[in-house]
Amino acid sequence: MIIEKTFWQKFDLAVRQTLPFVTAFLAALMMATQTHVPRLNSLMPSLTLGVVYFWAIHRPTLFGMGSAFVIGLIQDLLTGVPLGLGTLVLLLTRVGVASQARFFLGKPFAVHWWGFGLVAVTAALLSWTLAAAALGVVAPIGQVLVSALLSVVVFPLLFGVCDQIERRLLAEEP
Amino acid sequence: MKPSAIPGRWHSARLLLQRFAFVVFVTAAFALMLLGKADTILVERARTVIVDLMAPVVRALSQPAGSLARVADTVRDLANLRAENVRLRTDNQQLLLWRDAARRREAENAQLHSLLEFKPPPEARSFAIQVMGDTGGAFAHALLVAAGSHDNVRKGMAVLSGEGLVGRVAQVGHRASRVVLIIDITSRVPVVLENTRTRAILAGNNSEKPRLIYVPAGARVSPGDRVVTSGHAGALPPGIPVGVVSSVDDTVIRVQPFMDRDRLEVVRVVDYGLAGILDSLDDETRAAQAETLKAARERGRVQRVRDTQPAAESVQP
Repeated sequence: MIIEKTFWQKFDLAVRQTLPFVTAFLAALMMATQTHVPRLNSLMPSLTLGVVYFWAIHRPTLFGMGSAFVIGLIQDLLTGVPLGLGTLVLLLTRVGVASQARFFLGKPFAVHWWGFGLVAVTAALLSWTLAAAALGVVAPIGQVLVSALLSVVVFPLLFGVCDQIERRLLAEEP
Repeated sequence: MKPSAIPGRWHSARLLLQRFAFVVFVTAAFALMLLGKADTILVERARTVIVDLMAPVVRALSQPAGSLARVADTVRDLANLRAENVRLRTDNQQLLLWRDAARRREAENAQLHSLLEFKPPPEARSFAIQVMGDTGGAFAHALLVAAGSHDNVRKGMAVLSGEGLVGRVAQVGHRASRVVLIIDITSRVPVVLENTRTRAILAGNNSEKPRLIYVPAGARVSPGDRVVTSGHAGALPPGIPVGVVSSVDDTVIRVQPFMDRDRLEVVRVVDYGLAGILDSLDDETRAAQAETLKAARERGRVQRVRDTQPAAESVQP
């Protein structure tokens, strides 16, 4: 027997399905907050990269290329980096990681972390190259790599939050 | 038609669509990069809209970090109370000497002004605004401040902290603005070394210590030299403290800015009544600036003084 869903059930489902996008959006906003931690603001880790990486593996259908594009665009406009830089990096991360999702699914956290390390360094080098092309000047590479390292350091926290959201709120969804 | 052909075709079409979507999105991302270079006004407007829209959320997200920082500051202050007291007493002694010196020089200055019929520049108008976000990262360094065109903030205005120059207002929304810091890679501030009056440009490089460029040949630059704004280019008035020369070597002169970026909670936006942006300068001024830059480039390399110790600060009233 087919049970027709009520309006509120459909609404609830729709809201839950936006959660991957909402978490990435909040990560982009958090990157623009003032932390008051010495030197952290100049070496801000890429929180959006971690969130995009997680959803590209675990819920690629709920976090598509369009979502990655929009989050990247908001991030670029908000942080003042050359337009298109974060957009392209997050888009390529979403596509590249989603294509390898099968390898990561069901693997221990250490494998996810190792994979993110590779993605973070690759994304940092790509961003550095694109920023140099867009700005016409070369940013200090050391700072870019330290920022990538910090992204790797905070990844377990992001993974934990996204994992809890997926288990508690998206477990019943496709 | 075979029954299995429809799902197969549908799957192929879906795959094709996905591949096509990827190409479209990547092309769009590159188009955005080109747009950012070609139509800066449009991009600037888009940035302004986003900053205005996101400002309340960023402000709310910054509150917990701000509260924690204040608690940490209070604990640190209590722990350092005795040492701080000793330091303040010493500072007070020095400042009293400086006050006497300043009074004497003020009187002397007033006399000289009256002799020369000197017309002082118009007084600057300033107001304090709250810092609500720091859009830091490896590629851009800016602050989001909680005031915009509604509060009479305009593009190009100088932004100062208690210590010195912080940056310039780059984009102005209705209720929020973006301030590009002097350490940002796009920042260029005409400066002068306070003691030797050597002109240079302070160029941000996204590191904590921006560089001095276009220093004239034969200029004597030593660690410890104070750097202040020169007032050239019609952007900022002269004499605003910027930083201190921290190191000098064959290729690079680095400056440690006075501003403490991690502790900025409230900044002062100052309207000096200057144009503020290079685009608004007249052709004659722009041509003069181009000539100055060309001459500086032709003068070649800089002869620098390599002092290993910073110049000791002394009170000479």
